[in-house]
Amino acid sequence: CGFQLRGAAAMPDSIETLYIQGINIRDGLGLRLKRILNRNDVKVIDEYRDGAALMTFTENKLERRVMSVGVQTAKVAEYELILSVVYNLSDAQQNRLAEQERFEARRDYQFNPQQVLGRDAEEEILIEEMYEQVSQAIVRRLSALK
Amino acid sequence: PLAAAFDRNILPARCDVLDADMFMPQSLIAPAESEVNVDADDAQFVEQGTSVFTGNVEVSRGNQQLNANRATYNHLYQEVTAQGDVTLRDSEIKVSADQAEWSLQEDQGAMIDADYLLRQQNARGEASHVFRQGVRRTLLKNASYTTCTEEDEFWVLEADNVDLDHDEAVGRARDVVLRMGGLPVFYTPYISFPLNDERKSGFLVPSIGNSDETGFDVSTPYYWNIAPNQDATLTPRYMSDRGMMLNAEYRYLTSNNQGLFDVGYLGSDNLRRDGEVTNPYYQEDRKHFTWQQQGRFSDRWSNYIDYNYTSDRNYLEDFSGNLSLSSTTHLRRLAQVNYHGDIWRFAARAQGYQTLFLDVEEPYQMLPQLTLRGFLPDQALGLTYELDTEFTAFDSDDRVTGQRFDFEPAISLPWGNAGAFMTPRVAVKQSYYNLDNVDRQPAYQEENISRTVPIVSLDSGLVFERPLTFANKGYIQTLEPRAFYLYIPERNQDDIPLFDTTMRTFTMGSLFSHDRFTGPDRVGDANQLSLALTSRIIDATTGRQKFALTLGQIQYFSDRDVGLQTNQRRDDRSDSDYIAEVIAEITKNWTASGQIQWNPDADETTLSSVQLRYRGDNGAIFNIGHRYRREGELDTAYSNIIGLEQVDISASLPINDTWSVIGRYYRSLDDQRTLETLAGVQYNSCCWATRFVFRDYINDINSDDRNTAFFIEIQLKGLGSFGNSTDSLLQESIIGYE
Repeated sequence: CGFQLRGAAAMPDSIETLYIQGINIRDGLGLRLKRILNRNDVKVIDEYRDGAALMTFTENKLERRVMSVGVQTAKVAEYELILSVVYNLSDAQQNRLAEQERFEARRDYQFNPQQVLGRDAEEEILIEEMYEQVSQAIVRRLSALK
Repeated sequence: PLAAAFDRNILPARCDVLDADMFMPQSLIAPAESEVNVDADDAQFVEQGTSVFTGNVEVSRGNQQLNANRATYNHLYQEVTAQGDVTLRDSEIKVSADQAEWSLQEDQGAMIDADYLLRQQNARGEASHVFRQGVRRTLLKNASYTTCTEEDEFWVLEADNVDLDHDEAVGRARDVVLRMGGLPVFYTPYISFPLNDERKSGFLVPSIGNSDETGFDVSTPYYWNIAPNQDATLTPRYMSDRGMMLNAEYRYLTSNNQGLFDVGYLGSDNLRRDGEVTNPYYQEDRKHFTWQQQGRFSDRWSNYIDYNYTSDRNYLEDFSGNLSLSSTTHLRRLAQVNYHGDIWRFAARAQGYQTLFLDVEEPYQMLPQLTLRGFLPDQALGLTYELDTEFTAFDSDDRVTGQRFDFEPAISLPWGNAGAFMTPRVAVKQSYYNLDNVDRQPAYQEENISRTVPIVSLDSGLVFERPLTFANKGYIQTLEPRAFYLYIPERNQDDIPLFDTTMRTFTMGSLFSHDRFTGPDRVGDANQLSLALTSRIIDATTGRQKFALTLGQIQYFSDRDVGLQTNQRRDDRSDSDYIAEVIAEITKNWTASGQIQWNPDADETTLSSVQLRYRGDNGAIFNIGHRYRREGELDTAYSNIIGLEQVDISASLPINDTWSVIGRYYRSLDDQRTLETLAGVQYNSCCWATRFVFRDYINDINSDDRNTAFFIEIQLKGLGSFGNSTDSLLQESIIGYE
């Protein structure tokens, strides 16, 4: 029915070499994004130099929100994590390729007040999932640039 | 969004803003050093250096200008006397009167019975006497000051003396009466107000209200702009039932650190009885303290501090005025140092919790926890090496304590291209426990425990694509099957205490996870295959996902013996719940998402969740969600996970330029009880704004105890305002509210 195995999704040449600012590329989302971009033949550099495209994150916000409250206890039953990022992208000639691009990921989990330490480990896993999801979404967006 | 206008002094679009052409351009040259220019229809030289000008007289020096019908200019004393439709203006102010005297030598001007307009803040007023001292200061006598237009003069300050300092951009008034709707409502011997939009010290919008927990409740925040990189907000809060509380927030920003301190202190709680219940904190100190900091020592070393303290369990219920905060069960105390290397990441943390919830055991403290993680991809033969190590010392006053050392090297061979991937991975998890105080809990006998478990997995997937045309737009539809096989042999782990380990919430992510537990105290035995299928519809031109649907399930090839409790029944289901997730960008403004988990064995729904969100271009926000979760098997004494069925509707809707409404209706359907009701209206005109908020929510474990409260705030624009307290409370209730 028309489906074919995806061919090599060539990233545009304009972002072949990319400098990322506004987030730490050694940790968290930045690290995840850098690895995915590297896999897609985009070279993410540590120090800015001429000829590099510039990706500037203007927002990188991770919130924890009370999603639901237990009616018997009046205490938290579920939390929701919301990751939202916004970036601008310009090529080496300072042409804007993307303006205020926003991506969001959400996860929720049941909160067990008997084991609050378990929450930290669970959040860590969910946050990694969200980093992966947002990074994949950014890569899809970038590969559509022509 | 319009709602934010309240706090940022934003005027509705239809408000007339003073024409910039009314004022002179700004100039860096002192007027005294500029030449005097006089222009008029007719000029006459009278005597001794005095000239008389008539008809469209314009006297200018630098960026000061005087216009009049008639003026006399003395060249010797450099004095101008003007009559008839006189205006004197510069870059900041325009004063109009019938007569004016202007001494160019002294750089002083005087006018009687004048009107004035200020370029910034849209401010205007009248005065019996106006004295100008150059372009830097204006002194007014018997003056009025307002940011309202003449047609709609909601408020006006009337003062004996007003000193407008244009350099500092501050106005200072003495003997001041505030009139609202023509009636005198307030007297103050002194008030200062800003003449521009820069952050300045001053009173913020006060909030007046009433709540069940506090009685009559008034907060008058004062903003202190200490330096460009630090500020403080001091908020005295008077509560008729409890007494006077002082809150203070201090924020700082340096090149390497940013953070805040937040403290609150109530000397002696005056509340003797709260309804039927005696207040356990009667005549006691009530206080809180928070310190949050994010910082870095260098490019690779960073720190994070999150320290929270309240004097008692009920503090947030009594003082927060907000369901999100009052439903908090634990306050974290964490100090952490991180190192981010190219291959290695290291973290050291000390962590404890203050428990606010009565019915739970005190959590363990981590004193300390050290983690070291290594990640080395793309090595010889395409191999990736990983290493996870962790050392934690768990401390407790009444439970078994101990140290845990966990060491997990892994090797994987990721292979893939754009259309397919496959990652075989083998890890060996080795854990060593050294337990202390085993006499506290007879369930634990062994002091030294070691456990070695191999973890074998194979993750693989394919990505198919096809072009799709819909409504003349090009899309790409994908079909992404994914299979994840996991094998972990069973180990008896009943002699290991649960320091930080519990069951993970079952989600789509669980299908591709190496463990069904959150911490290392249990490694779940597994022989299972997860299958999932995702289909996306992606806009071909933007690359943005419009729609995604994922279906998945785990097939279990053997029963799961490892559980949290010692003699927990083995889990013998042969497959997991089916899980389906969908997210759709219906239009630019509407997003829908849903999730369902269905148990095929019992033929029942475990979880369902539907959400619809609207984000309008004009700042409108609307959310509606329904959530159902079946009470699970884990809902024994061990865990507090509970079933629920709830509907949550929230909105912030601008009605027009000036009016907006906000609200939330959050209700539990399974027992027909409303968890929170919030309703508010907001009015924002050119010179004032007001907000009225009512809220009612369950506040206590004894859920008959509700907190019903209302608050009103009035902001007179131009008298200073930057942020305020209700705003952060509304953010917690209305998703997306900013």
